[in-house]
Amino acid sequence: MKNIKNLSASTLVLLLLGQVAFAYEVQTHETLSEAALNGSVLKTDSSVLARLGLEPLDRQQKFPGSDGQQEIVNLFKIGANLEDTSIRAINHFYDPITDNGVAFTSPTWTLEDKGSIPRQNYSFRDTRDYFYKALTQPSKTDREQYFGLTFEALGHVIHHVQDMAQPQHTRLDNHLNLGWTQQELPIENRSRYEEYSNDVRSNLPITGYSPVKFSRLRDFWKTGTGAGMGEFSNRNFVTDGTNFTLRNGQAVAGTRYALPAPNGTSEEKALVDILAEKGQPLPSTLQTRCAARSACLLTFYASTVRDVYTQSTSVNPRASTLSIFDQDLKMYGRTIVYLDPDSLNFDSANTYTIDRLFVLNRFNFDEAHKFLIPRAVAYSTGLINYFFRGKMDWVADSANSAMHAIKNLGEERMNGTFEIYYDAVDGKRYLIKSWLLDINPGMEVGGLNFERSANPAPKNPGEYMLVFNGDMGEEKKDSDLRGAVVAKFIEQKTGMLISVCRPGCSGTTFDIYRSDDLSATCAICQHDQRWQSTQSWKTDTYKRQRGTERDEYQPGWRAELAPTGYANDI
Amino acid sequence: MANRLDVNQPGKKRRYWYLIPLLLIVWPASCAMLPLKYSAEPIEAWVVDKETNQPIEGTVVVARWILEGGLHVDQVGSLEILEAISDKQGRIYFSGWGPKWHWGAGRLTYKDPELLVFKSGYRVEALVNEASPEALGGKYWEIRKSDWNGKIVKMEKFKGDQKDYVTHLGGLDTSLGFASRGGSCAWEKIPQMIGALYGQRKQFDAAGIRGFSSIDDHLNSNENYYLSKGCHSPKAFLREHLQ
Repeated sequence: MKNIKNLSASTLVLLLLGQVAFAYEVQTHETLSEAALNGSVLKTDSSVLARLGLEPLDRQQKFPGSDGQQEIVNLFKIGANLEDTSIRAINHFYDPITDNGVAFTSPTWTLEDKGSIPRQNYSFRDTRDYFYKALTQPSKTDREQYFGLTFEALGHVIHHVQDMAQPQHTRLDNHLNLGWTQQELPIENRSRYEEYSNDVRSNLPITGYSPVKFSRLRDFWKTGTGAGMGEFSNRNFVTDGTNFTLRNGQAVAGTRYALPAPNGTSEEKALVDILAEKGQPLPSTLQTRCAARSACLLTFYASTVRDVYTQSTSVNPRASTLSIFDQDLKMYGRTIVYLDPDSLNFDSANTYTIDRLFVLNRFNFDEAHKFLIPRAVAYSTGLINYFFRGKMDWVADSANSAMHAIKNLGEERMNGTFEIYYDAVDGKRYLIKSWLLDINPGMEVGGLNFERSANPAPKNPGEYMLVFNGDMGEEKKDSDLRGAVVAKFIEQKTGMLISVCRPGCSGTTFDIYRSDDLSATCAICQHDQRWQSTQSWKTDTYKRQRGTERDEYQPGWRAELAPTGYANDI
Repeated sequence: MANRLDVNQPGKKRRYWYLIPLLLIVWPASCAMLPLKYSAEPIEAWVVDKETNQPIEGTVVVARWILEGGLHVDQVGSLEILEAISDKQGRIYFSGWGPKWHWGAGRLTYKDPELLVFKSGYRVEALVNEASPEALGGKYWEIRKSDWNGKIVKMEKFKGDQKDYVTHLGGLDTSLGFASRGGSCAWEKIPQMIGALYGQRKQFDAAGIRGFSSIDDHLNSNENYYLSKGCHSPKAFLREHLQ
C-alpha cells in the first residue's frame, strides 16, 4: 500500500510540476536491443538455445507475442519498445548516489526483488516464471506462449540498463514530454539528447565494448564501486540540467553532482569548422553572422571518463560546450542572467550576466555516444547472458554404468529441484521424475535414473527435457520467488553419429548428424542417395560451427563416422 | 451531523479548489482534441550513387508524416503514408495531399515527412526535416514541406559482408515497425517496400544467409492476427504484390 501511495503521489507531482523525462526513444531502444541480442550467447553460442530444445537464432522460429507470431529478435525489440508504454516510464530513473528514483527506482521496478509490484508483469522475476512455464507446461501452445513472454519480458528488462546509459536518468535531470497538445506547452522541455540519439540511431556506435559479467543482478545498475551502468553514466557525464557551471569565471562541476568536473583542458573551435567536420553547412540563419570564424566560437570543455569495470580512464574532449549558442545552435548573442543551474537558492553569488552558456549540443552528444552506446549494448548483452548462464548435463554415472548423473557445468552452486519431462504423442509434456539435489560447480551427483514412460507413448523416443528450479548464485527460490531456472534438452539415442565435412572444413569445424538407423555401416559415408532425403537426419546444431546450413546433400561434402568419443560431448 | 456534501449549508462558500488538479489534467487533453488542418506540398527528389553520381532506378522511398505525442513522447501514429519508386533518371515524386483534419493526440514535428530510402546493396537512408526548435515545439503551420524537395539523395553502397548487411537492415525493420506493430494495417500502403524487402530476403536465402527479418515473412505468419484487426488478408496482399 505504501508503494501505491508513493506511486500516486509521485505521478501527481510529475504531472503538476513537469518532472518527467523519458529515456532513449523506442526505436533507439529497439536498435540497442537488437544489437544486444546479437552479441549475446543466444546468438554466439547455439548450444544455449539448443539446450532449451529450440532452433538457432538465425533459423527465425516464431513465438506468440504482443503483436502476433514473432521471431525472437522481434520479441526482444517489442518488449524494449513497450516498456515505455504509458506510466511505466516513471519507474525508469535511478540515481546510484542517493538510491533515489522518481517513483520506483529502475532496479526495484525491473527486478521486482523487494516484493511484488502491482501491474508490473515484465520484471526479471516475472521473466523467470515465464521461462519455467515455457519449459514445463503440459500444453505445447502454452509453452510457446510462455517462451514468447520470456523473450518479450527480457526486452522490457534490458530496456532499463539502456536507460541507465542515459545520464539524465541517473542524474535525475527531468524533462517533461507530454505531447498532449498540438503546441508544446511552456512547461514542456524535450530531451535533445534523446531526439538526437533517435535521429542517428542507424549510425550509433553499438560495438566496441565486451559484454559485462556480474554475479549479482543489481550490479548491472550499481556495484557500489562504480562499475554499474548507472554509476558510469552518473559520474562521467553532465546533462542539460546538471551541467558544468561558472564560478568566479572558472568552469567547475555543478553543485548537485561533484562529478564529472572539467579536467582543465578546453578547445575553442569555430562553428563553421566543426560543422564542416560533420560535412554539414552553416544553417542559413547563421550564414551572415558566422561566416567569419572568429564570430561564432564554441569552447569545448573536456572531462576525464573513468571506467571502473575495465579499470581504465580516457578523455571526453567534448563533455560540455560554452558558447553563445543554445543547444539547438540557433539562439545566439543574447546576454542573459545566468544562474547556477544546480543552485537551490538564488543567491546572487551564483548569478552571472553572461552572453555564453554551458549547453549540450549534437557535438557533445556524438562524443557521449562513443562512451555510452557501446556500454548500453554491452550491459544489455550481459544481462541476457546472466539470464541464461546456468548449464548442466545428464551424463553417464562414472561410478555405476547402469545409472546416470547430473553435472553442474555452470559457475555457481545449484540447489533445488531437478525435473525430467518428456513429450508424448498426445502433444503434452509430462513430468517423469524429480530430485532434490545440491550440486557444486563442476561437480556431479550420480545414482540417478528414471523409467522410460510408455504411456502415453513418447513423441520422440529418447528425447527429454531436464529442468532445474531453485537456488543458484544470488537467485533464491522461496514461496514467492521462482528462483533460478536452467534447462537441458537431452537425447538418449543410440543411433549412429557421423561427421560431415563440407569443402574447406578442417579441425573440428564439421557438422554432426545423427541417424536413428542403427546400421553398423556408414552408408551415408559413401554419398549414397539417402542424402537426398534428410527427413530422418537431425542436425546437431550444438556442434555446427560453419556451413551453408542446408540440410540436403551437396556435391563435395565428405561424410564419415564421427570421431571416437565425440558422442560423449552431446 | 451535516452531510459532508450539503451544498445548501448556509453561511459557507462553495470551494472548488479540488477542481484545479482535475482541470490541469482535462485541459491539455481537451486541447489535444482540437482538430488541426494539415496539408503537404509535392516532393520531387533524385536518387544517385554517391560515388558515381549516376541515377539509381528502382529505389523505394516511403514518406511518412509522423505524429509525435503521448506521455512518453514518441511516435503515436502516421498522418499520411505514401510510397514512390525512382525511375530511370532516379527521380522520385510524391503528390501533395490535403487538406486533412487531424483529431486527437500527436502533432507533426520535424518528421513531416520522414523519408525511408531503400535500394538493395546500399545503405538505408532515413531523411527528416531540420529539427528546428519551432518544429520540435510543435509550432503549427498548415502546409508542410520537405527539406528534400528539389534535392539529390546520395546513396552509399554498403561496404561489408552479407551478414553485416543483415544487421544493417535490422534498422530498417525497426523504422518500418509502424506498418505492422500493434495490429496496424499500414503495411497495405507500402507494397513496393515490402516487395523490395522480399526480394532482398530471397537474395540472402540464395546465398545461405540467415537471420534477415522481413515484413512479408511476418505477414505471412500472421494471417488471422491481421484479419482480426480489420486488415485485408496478408496472404492475398502478398500474392498480389510479390510476383
